[in-house]
Amino acid sequence: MAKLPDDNFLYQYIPQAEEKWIKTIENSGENAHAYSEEFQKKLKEITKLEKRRKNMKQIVAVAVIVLITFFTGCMSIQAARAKLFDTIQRIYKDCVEYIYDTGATENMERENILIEPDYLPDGYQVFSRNESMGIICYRKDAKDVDTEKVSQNVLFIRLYNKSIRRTFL
Amino acid sequence: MLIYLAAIDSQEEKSKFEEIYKEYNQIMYRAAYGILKEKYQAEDAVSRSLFKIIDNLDKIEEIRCKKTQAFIVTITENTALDCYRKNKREKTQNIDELQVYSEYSKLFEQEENDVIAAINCLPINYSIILRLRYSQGYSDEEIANMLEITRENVRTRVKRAKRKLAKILEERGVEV
Repeated sequence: MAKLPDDNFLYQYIPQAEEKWIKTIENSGENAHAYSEEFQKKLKEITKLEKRRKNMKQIVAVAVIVLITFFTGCMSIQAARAKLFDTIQRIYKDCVEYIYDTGATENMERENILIEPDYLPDGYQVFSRNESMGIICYRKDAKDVDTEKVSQNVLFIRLYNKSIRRTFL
Repeated sequence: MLIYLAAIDSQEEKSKFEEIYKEYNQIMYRAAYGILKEKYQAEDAVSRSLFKIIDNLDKIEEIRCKKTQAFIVTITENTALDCYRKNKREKTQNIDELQVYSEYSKLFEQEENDVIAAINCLPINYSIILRLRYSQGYSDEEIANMLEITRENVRTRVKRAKRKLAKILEERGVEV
């Protein structure tokens, strides 16, 4: 069996062979080929398609930049983030806090409607309900409750590895 | 600002494609005709190649250079080869075993340099893969994307091309 040419051999000779190959093709026709009308029509379509694809690429690129800018802005501003998603989830070391924004303002007469979750992990039960504050606490074990502190609009209940679900209205 | 930049870019890209066509449409036709040997089929191969060139516009940095010319000829020959297989209803035949020659191969039978003669007398599918890898410097992955085959197919075809080249070189009494 003939010995296979190695890469060094091919890197040396293939470029030389290609150069001669292309020169041969280039010099083969005496007259320039006149493309048919059918081809000219196709060419117009291809050129149009190419233009559309380029424009589409630009539009997509601009749209992506606008969206990224918009979302970056929203995500960096808490109020905007809350407005966008209506819910903020904060994960602390020992609890998870959910805040729901209903759009109520300081001057509006407040009506507390407690929103109860559709799903609760196994073993969790209502620990306390404070309808005037709009708070429901869920816990697994009452003994785990360590401290309870209420300030202006913030309720902080320290639970060990437990969850708290909170609503502000 | 963004829209303005987008518009400039679009104009540049548009003229790039048009310039490529203007510069290379004749050599593209001849390369395709060399394989298909029929005017309308060759034109069809050229139009199909233009779609592939649009897909690979980002690979073309400079329009008037040897590298771009070689790339466009290779793309056109590969498209012509696909058209040949479709026309001959040889879809089921493995392209790696296909022995299709460009008519320009004949012109190299009397070439003084036996190695160059052997390379340019290879079946066109083998010649294409070797040029893409060893002259134009594309990776197996890039070649696979360009030719719309798997990387495994690229490696197999290179291996077969080397075997065929070794056989031709042996017949010509060239030691490697």
